[in-house]
Amino acid sequence: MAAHDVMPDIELFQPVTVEDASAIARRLEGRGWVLAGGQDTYGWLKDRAKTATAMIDLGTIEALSGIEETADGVRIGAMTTLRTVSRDPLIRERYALLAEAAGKVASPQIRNQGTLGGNVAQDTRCWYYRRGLSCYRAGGNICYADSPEGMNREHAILGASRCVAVSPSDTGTALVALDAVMVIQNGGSVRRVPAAKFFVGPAVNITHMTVLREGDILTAIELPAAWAGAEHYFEKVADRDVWDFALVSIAAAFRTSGNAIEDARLVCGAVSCVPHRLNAVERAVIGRPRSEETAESVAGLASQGAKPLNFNHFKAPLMENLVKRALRS
Amino acid sequence: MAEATEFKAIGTRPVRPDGVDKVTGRAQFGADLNLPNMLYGKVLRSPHAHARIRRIDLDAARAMPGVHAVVSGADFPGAQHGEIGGEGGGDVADVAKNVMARDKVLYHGHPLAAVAATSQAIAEAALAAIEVEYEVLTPVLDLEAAMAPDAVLVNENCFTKNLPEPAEKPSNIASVMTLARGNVDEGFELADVIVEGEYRIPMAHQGYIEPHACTATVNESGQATVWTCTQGHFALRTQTANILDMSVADLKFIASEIGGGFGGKTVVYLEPVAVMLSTQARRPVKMVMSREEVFRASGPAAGSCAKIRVGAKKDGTITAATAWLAYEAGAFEGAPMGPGAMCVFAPYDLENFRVEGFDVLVNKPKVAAYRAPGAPQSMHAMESALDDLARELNMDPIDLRLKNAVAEGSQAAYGPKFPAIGFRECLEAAKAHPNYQKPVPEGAGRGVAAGFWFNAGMESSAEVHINEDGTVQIIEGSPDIGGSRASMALMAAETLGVPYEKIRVLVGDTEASGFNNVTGGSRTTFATGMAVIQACEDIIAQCKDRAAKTWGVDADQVEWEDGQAIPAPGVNAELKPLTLAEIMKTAARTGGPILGRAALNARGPGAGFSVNFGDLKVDRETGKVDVLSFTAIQDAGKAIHPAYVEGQMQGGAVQGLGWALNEEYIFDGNGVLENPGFLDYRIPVASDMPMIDTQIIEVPNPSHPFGVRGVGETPIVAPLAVAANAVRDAIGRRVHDLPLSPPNVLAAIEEG
Repeated sequence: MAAHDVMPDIELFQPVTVEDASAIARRLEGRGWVLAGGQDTYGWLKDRAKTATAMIDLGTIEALSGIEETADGVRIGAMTTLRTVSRDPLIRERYALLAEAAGKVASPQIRNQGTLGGNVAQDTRCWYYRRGLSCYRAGGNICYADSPEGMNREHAILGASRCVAVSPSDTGTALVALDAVMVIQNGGSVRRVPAAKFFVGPAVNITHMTVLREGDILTAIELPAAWAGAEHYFEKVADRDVWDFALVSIAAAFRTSGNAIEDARLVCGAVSCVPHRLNAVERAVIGRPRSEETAESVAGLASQGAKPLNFNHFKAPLMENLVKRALRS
Repeated sequence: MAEATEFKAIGTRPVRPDGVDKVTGRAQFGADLNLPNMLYGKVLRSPHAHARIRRIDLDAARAMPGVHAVVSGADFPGAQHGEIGGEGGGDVADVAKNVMARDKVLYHGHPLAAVAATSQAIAEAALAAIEVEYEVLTPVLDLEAAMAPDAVLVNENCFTKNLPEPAEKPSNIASVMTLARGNVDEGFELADVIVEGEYRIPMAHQGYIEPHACTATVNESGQATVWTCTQGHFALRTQTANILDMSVADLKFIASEIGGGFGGKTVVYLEPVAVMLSTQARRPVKMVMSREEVFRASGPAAGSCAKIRVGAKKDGTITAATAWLAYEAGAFEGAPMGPGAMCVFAPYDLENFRVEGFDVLVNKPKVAAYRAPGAPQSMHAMESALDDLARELNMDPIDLRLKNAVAEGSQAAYGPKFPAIGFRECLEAAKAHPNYQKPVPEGAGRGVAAGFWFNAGMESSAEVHINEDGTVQIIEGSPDIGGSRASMALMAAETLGVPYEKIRVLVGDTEASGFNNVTGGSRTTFATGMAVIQACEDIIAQCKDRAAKTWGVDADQVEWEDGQAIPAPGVNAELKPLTLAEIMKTAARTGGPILGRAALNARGPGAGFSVNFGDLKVDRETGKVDVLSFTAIQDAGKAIHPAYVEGQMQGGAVQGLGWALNEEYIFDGNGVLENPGFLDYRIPVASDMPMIDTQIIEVPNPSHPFGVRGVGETPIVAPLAVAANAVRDAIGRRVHDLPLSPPNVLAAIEEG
C-alpha cells in the first residue's frame, strides 16, 4: 500500500463552448475527466483510484450557469452552484424541495463551489471502489462490500445486482421527485432524459451511475411547471449534520385536492444505486389525506423487497420512518 | 501558600505568546521546514493486516533515477528492550518494529520499506517498484477472537505477564492486572440492588489536525538534526537513539510548533526512518504523513470491552463492585489497561472491589496515548452502571455519587491516600448549577457522569535569564500544546513580580534546554511550571545578593517585593528599592550575568476530578442524537490562565462527545480501516456542538506552590457516559456500546 498525497501530472482544457468541451472529451476518450465544481474530483485523482490524465474544465463556459424561467417551468444551468440553487428566490418559491435538498449537501464551503450538475453526476462513495480495488464497478468480478468480510453499513438494501453501491446525490432524489429533465449535449445534438432514467443501476450498467457517456455534457436541468408549488418534504439522515453523506434521505412531493393526495412522488436516497422511487407507497396514498393514519398504513410498503446486508439493517426501518414523516401533514 | 486573592498575574487571561504567529500563519509547524537539497521520504505500507514477509526486493526502486535511498527492516539494528516512557506504554523494541516491520507485518498500513527521492512523485513511483512476497495470515481482529484459547497468534513470542504462574504457552494476552480490596462476594450479599452491564467502545483517533511530519539531516560525522512536531522531543530523541543504536549526543531534536497531539505525538513513527534515509542519501530528508497514513498507522486510542457489576444498599452505599476490562493494544503490547483499571473506581470509597485488566494484541495499529489513556473506556462503563443504579434506587445521580465519593484521606482504589481533592466540591457545584436546576427539554434526556485522572509529575528543567534591560527569558523544553508558554510566563510574573509582557518563553531544542519529559499526563503546567518557579526563586536569591553587594549589606538584609529588591525591615531605610533593570545595569560589577535554573522530578501532581452533565435530544425515528447543552465542572487546583483551562475543558468535552456519538474506527473483516479520512471518520464540527459551559473549581494542590493540578486530560473522561446516560434517559433503554450513531441508536429503539 503506497499512500498517495500528490496530484498526478494532468493536462487542463478550459473550453468556452459546450461544443468544444464535448469535442475535447470525445477526442481524449477514456483519459479525459469532465470537471464541474471539483469537489469530488481531486481525491479520485490524488488517490490514483481513477486514471484520467486530462481535465476538461466546464467552469469557463458561461452558458452553463444560471437559473431562468421557461415556458414550461424553470431551467437551471448544470454549473449553477448548490448555494445558488438553495437560495434562489424562484427555486425556493416553486421548487422548495430542490432548494432544501441542495442546501443539505455537504458543507457551506462545498456548496459554494459544488454544482448541481456535479452533484448528480458524482460517483458512488463505496469505500472499496474508492480504494481503487478491482470490483465489479471498476471492471472486475467481485463485490468486496457484499462479501463475508465486507463492511457495508452505508451500502444498498434495494436494487442491487452484484454491486451494492448507493447513489450519493442529495439533489438526485429531489429531481426525480419533481420529474426533472436532464439536458445532455453531445457535439451538436441535444437529448432530454427524465431524471428517473438519468440514473442507472448495476443491472443496467455496472460501471456507470448515469447515462452520461464520452462527449456527453450535462448542460441543464429543467423543472416542469406541473410540480411547481407542490407540497413537499425533504429529510436527510446522516451520522453528522453537515459535511456528510446520507444514511437514508427522502424527497417527497404531493399534489393535493382538498384534503386528498392526487399525485405523489416519494424518492429515497442512499438505499439503492439510483434515487429509489417508492412506487407502491405513491400508489397507496392516492386519494388519501396526508395524515398520521395514512403514514402508519403505508409506511411498511416503503422497504418492501429490501435485502439488508450484514451491517445496514437499520436502513429499512429508517426508510419507513422517513416515509411516515413525509406523509404527516 | 498564598490566598487566591493575593495573586497579581495568576488568574488573569492575557493573550498567549504564540497566538499572533499562529493566527497569522507565521508559526512553523512540522511540515513547514524546507532545506536546500532536501529529498522527500515515503513509506511502503502493508496491504495485509497480518502476513509474513517472504521476500522483499528493493533493487528496482534503488535503480530509479532520482531515488537516493531505499531502506527496509533489514537496514535497522535490533533495538534494546526498555520502556518507551511518557504516557504511551510499551517496549522500545516493539516501537522499533512498529516503525519498520521485520519478519511480519501486523496491521494494514504497517511500514515495511521507505524511500527518499528528489520529488514526492518519484518517491511514490519507487514505492510501487518495490516487490514484496507475502504469506498472508489470518488476522486477529477483535477481543473475543484474540482471547480465545485457540486464537491465531499476533506474536508467537508473546507470553502473558503478571500471571500467578509463568505462562507456558504464548498468547495474545500480553499482560494482566488485578486490583482488589475486601471481599466482593460478601459485599454483593449485603447489596439490596445489583446492576451489571457489558460495554464496548471501538478504537478512536485523537484527530490532531496536523499530520506527523519531520525533516532529518545527518552530517558526515554521523550527527543528526531532526525537526519534528511532537509532544516530547527529548523522548523522541531517546527512542530514536535506541532504535538506531546511536548515542543520544549525536541526535539533536528540534520541536516545531505542534498542531495538536492529545497524547498521540509522544512516540516515533517517521523520525528514525528519516534519519536512516538521510544517512544513506547524505542529504536532508523530509517526511510527511498523509491523513490516510495518520489514520491507518499512527496510534489511535484502544478499543475496549468492559464488564461491570455494582451492588448497593437502599441508601446508595456501594457494597461491592467488580470490573473486567479488556483493551485492544493493537499489534504490540501497551494498551492503557493499567491506568484504565486504576481509574475505574477511583472516585469512589469502596470497601469491596475487584478489577481485572487485560492488554490484548490484535492486528490493528499499535495504540497510543489519547487524553487520560484508558480512563474514558473504563469509566464510561462504571459511570453508566452508576446511572442504572441511581434509577434502580430512585436516587438523584449526583446524590448517589456524593454518598460514595472519595475525599481527603480516602484510600484510592489504586493505592495511595488522597490528599486534598475537589470531587465533592465538583458534585455539589453540579447540583447547585443553574443548568442542572432547569427542567430537561422535551424529547431530550439528561446524563450525569464523573471523570478522574491521576495527572503526572515527572522530569522538567527550566532556565531563566535576565536580559540587560531587566526583561526575562525563560528557556524550558516542554512543547506547548495547550498554552503552556502563557502559564509559564504567568507563574514567572507572579514569582518575580515582573509584568507578563516583559517575559518571553522559549521551548528550547534538546541542545538548548535541560531534559524535559513529554508534554503529557497533564504535567507541564504543574511540573515544568514548578521548575520555572524554582528557577525564578533562584533569580530572586541572586538578585538579593546583588542588591546586598550594591548596598553593602548582608544578603539576608534584603527582601524581594513587587519585582524589586528592598531593604529588610530595620535595615537602612534610606536605600532605594532596586528593580530588575537597575540590578542588571550594575550586574557586570556585582558578579556578571544573572541566570536561574532548576531541574526536578515533580512529585504530588494532584488528582483531577470532574463532574459533567448534559441534555441530549434523541430523534426516535432516525436515531440521531443532538447535544442541546453541556456543562463541565472540574477541579483545576488553581487555574493559572482560566481561559486556557476552560479551553481544555471544552475541547475535552467535544472530543469525548465525538467519541460517544460518532467517532469510530470502522474495520472490515480483513482488518482494513474503511474510514481513514475526516469525511468518514466523523469528528464533530462546530455546528454539531452547543457552547460548552464550564465552571472551574479550585481546591489547591498542596504539592504545588500555587496549588496547580493538571487539567488537560480529565475533561475527556466523563462526556462518554454523560452521552450514554442522557440517551438512556431519553429513550428509556440503555445502549451499551458506542458510538451512539443513528444506525446503532435506531437499532436499539427498534429492538425495544
